Amino acid sequence: MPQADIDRVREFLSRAARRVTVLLVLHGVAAGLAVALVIAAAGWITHRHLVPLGIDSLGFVALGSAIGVADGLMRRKRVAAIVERRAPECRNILITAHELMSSAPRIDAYVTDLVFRDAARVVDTLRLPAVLPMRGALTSVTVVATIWVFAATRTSTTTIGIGGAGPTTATVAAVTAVDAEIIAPAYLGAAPSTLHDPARIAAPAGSHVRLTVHADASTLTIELPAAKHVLHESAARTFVAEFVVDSDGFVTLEPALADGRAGSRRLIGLSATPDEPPTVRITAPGHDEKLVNGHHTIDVSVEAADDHALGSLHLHYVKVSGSGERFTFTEGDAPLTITRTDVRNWKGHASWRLDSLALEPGDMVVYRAVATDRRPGATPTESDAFIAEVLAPGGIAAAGFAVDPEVERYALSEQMVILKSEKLLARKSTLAADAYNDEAAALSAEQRSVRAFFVFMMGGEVGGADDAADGLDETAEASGEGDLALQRMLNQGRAALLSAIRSMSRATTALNTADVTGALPHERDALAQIEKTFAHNRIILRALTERERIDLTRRLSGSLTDAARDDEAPGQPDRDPTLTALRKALADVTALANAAGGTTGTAADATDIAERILRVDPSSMPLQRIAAELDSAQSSPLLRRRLLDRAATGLTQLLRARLPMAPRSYGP
Amino acid sequence: MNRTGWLSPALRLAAVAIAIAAMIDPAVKSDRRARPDVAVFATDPARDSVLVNRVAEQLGSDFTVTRAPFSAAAATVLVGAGLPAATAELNAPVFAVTPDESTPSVRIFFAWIPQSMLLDSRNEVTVDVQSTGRGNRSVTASLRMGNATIDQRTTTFGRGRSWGSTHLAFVPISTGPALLRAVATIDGVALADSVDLATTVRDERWHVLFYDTRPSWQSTFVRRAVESDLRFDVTSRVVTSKNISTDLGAPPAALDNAGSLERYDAIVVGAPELLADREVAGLEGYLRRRAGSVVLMLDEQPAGPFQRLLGVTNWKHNSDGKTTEIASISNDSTVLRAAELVWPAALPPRAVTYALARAPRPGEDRPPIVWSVPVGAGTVTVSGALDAWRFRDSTTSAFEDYWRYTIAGAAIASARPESIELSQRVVAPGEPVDVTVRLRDPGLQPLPTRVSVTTTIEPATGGPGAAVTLWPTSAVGALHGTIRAPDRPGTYQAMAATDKDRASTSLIVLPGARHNGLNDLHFLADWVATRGGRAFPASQLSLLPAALRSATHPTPRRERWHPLRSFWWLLPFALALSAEWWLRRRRGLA
Repeated sequence: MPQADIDRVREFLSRAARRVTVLLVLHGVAAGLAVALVIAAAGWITHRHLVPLGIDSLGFVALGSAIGVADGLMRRKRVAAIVERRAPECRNILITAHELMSSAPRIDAYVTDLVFRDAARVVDTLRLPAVLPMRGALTSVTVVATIWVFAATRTSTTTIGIGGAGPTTATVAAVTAVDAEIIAPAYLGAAPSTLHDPARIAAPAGSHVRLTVHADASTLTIELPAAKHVLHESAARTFVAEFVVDSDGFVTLEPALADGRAGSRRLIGLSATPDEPPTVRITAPGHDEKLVNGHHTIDVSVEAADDHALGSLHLHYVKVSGSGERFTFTEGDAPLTITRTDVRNWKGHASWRLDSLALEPGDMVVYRAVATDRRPGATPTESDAFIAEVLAPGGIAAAGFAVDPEVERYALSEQMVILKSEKLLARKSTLAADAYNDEAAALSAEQRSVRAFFVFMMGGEVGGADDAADGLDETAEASGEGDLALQRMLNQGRAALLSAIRSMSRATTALNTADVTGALPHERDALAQIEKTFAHNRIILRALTERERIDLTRRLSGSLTDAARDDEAPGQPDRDPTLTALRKALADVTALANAAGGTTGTAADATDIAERILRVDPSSMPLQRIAAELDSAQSSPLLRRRLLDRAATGLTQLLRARLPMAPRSYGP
Repeated sequence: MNRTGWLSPALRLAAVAIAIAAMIDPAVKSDRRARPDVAVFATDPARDSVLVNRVAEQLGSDFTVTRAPFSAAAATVLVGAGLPAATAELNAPVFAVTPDESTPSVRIFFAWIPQSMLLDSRNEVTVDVQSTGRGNRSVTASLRMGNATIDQRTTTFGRGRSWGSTHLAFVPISTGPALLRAVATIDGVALADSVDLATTVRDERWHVLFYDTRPSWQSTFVRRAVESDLRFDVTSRVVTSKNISTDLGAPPAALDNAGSLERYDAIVVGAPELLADREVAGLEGYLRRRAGSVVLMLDEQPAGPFQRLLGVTNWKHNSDGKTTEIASISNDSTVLRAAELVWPAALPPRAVTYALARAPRPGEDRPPIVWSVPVGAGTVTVSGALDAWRFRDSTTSAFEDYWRYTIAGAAIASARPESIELSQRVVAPGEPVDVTVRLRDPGLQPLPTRVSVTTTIEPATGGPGAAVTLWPTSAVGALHGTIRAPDRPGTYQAMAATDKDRASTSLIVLPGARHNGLNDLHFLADWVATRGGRAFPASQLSLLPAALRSATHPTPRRERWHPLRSFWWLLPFALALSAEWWLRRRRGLA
């Protein structure tokens, strides 16, 4: 067998196969570019703007090339037939030789020799460029590639030329990019942050937002929660707006060309995170304390926290001192050692020596922790207040008994003081002098407690009571408390009460000197005055203002003769406006999805619906999500159908939660 | 000539004779066993056409296969998992070939939506799905309005054949007919099944009368809950003293006149123990003649003549002061709480329980607290949660929602003067539709009654309609007829009108409409068994011909036939010529 002939034929067929593959790849590239151009043209027809020719085009080219290679591989076995078809003068000799090479049938050697010799002779006469010309394929690729380059250049000019100088040449106004610089309030000390093409801007309340909008437009209308502005270019195709975020809402950006044609709007949600007030509490001692004397040291622990940063932490006190009918109040801050865990969490501790306050028996100090955050003008937050009280003589005993002093305090009455005084006098002969004095002192404390109760009922102010022992200066009283002097009778009641307090003071003074016998008449006088105070319609507390007065017409009382059939007209509850708005939004979303299959056109409607949904409740997270999906449906044509479905499903869920369930049949 | 010399002319003659006979093509009459005709068709051609081809190929050698139902078929073979809409035309015996369970599939075997609904309510659409496949799979049931998906749920199905029921939400967005489509898909597989549904949304109100024989907290708080619901038009009368009452709207002066109660869909009675005999008689007339619904709100121990409506005289009472949870019987969720309960010692016949309290003691039955009993064509519902109004905190009790739901159910159960129902509300053009009109009064009023009813189908957009001929059925007041759906797609109104009232419902004609086909394999197997057939999975298709042969019993019949048209004549013809040639060649003549 002439091996040289076989090799020549085999080499020829191999070159032919490679050339066929190259030709098919070239055709694939041309077809891929053509498909990309068709899609771009379709975008121009439907959207009036060119779909950018970029990575998508390369994908089509790659796909076309891959198909070409695959097709070439598949045609490799038929390459001889392809050549024969292009060169009929071969008269099937190449096909025969190819079959002999690939299948090695049992054929006499002289036949194969003859076939390969003739085949080798034929291939020597053939020129592959003539048999398989590439001119047509290369021309196709060149033509299509030229058009593609032209279109790609056009689209990039339209969509990417933000920084280019000169007025826009776009035929459709469009927002191409948005940068939001968020500058939080200075007191927060946060670094500015920047968002690119945000769907939502979440910022602390009071933040300053600088919005830089790149748009193919001559003007840009920006609608804020509280205002609407028309912006002009600050630089080429660049618009800048600044505003303060102080509530939830949204920003609408609407570009427009010089001829007034508006482009698609873009929505950006706004979430203003409020600066919560700090929390503060006293963790130790955490309860009121009774002190034997004023030389104690109280260990006070305080914890404070804030969502951003704490500004200050104080331990504030009010010293209440006085005797008789006079109380004085002194305010101040106790020294507090602050440990800052971080800017948000502080702890404070004070070993507070009360000596400096010069507390006397019966005095008390009311203390609370006060914290502020760094927000200017913020109202300080106060912790619960606790009391440290220096007991007057007798107070120690009360604390030592099983009876809750709080209960005893409120259980005490002037009648009880009289009763206890009478019992003490009865037992005087059986008691030692010290014991008698102690019990008298305790009784004095109780009398003082009862007196204090009435003093505080009067508002804590009894100034002038001693000076007007025999009568009340009603003019001064009325001018001091306008809502008190409703009727003359009321002030007489108040005068009686003041007289009672005065008698209680005298009783206290007597009891302090263990003069129980002398105290008893004052106690009885106080009781008489108290009874006089509560007699008839006298009211000792502040008179009720007009707003606080009881409306007798609303009480279930009245004259029997007025009773009659009561007819009321039936009324229907109003339809919830939120429900109506959501229902309308759902109808619009379904209509939008049904328009052209929800994949083309009317994209601006999606933004309109999103805007209306946000207006329903800008703070609602579900509504924010739905609005974001609708807004995204505008910019994502391929995902529009799915986004509209998600928006419709979300709206259905919201409506479902607001509407009562209909029974499908009878059977609860 | 040798001994075989005659053979050659004989063979030649035989061949010539066969050729001449073939040209003449004689016809013969005789008794023959014909190949049985079998109708083979798919209930869902789009889905099961491949399987239909396999079945036809399998049967082709023994039977004459016609790929459509026809009345003269010796047997019918259904291919698919469901029954066709019209089963009356199928000739028995009927066999079925169902898809293999190992093949992933999803089918909606039942989808349901109310015929009509109110605008201010949410409604459940039930979609029962059957799926087959080798492993676990996620099946998504969705509800679509046009191209928009308005609700969807995904359920995981186990291996093999599985069923699942999904409740989707439909919130009406406008009044009028609404066309929906329930779709079931298997995630990751391009398989889907769908059913078209239609309903009519109405902006109407249920008329409810609250009648308190004395001020009652229970009735008052239920009334307040109902008053705040847009679906109800509430009229009330609270009798506060003799000749003194508080009225809302224009309630009847008393319940003793059943005629004055006719306009109400439901009547809620507070403190029913003070109802007089004549008022109980009025309510009974309302129940029996109007087929109305009455809800009795007990707040004291039952006593008085109203008990004869219920057929209950012995009651049990629980007032240990402990708060008891009362759960709905449908889902065992707590709907009410009460500290004082009363329930019948024995429920009357045909009573239905809706809510149960916790058992008083372990091992005892849970007492029925909310229950109903039919009175004539009407229904009386009783609440024995005497102080449920004290426990209205929405975090622990569904007091308001429960009573809105219950009274809405009572109003729905209350019969309308007339109603019209269609067997399918979404149909393909020309598809048969059964129309049923029910008239309330002829069935409940003393006979004889004379009512004339006119039923028409007309386009919703206006235009000439077509009258529907109806025929009386065995049920008094029920009329039935069958129509062919209009050829032109669109929305139509089916209306039935009497002298007093009229009822209507929507009919949507949609090309390619898909409706419930009872796609349940078990049901299909049972159904074909009743028609003398059997269901075969596709994997056992080879057994079908034998089953068909044994079921069809072909009988001989005298028929005209052409014997020379058989292919087999070619064989003797060729043999004769070949042998004759061979003999001549052997003799050296050829």
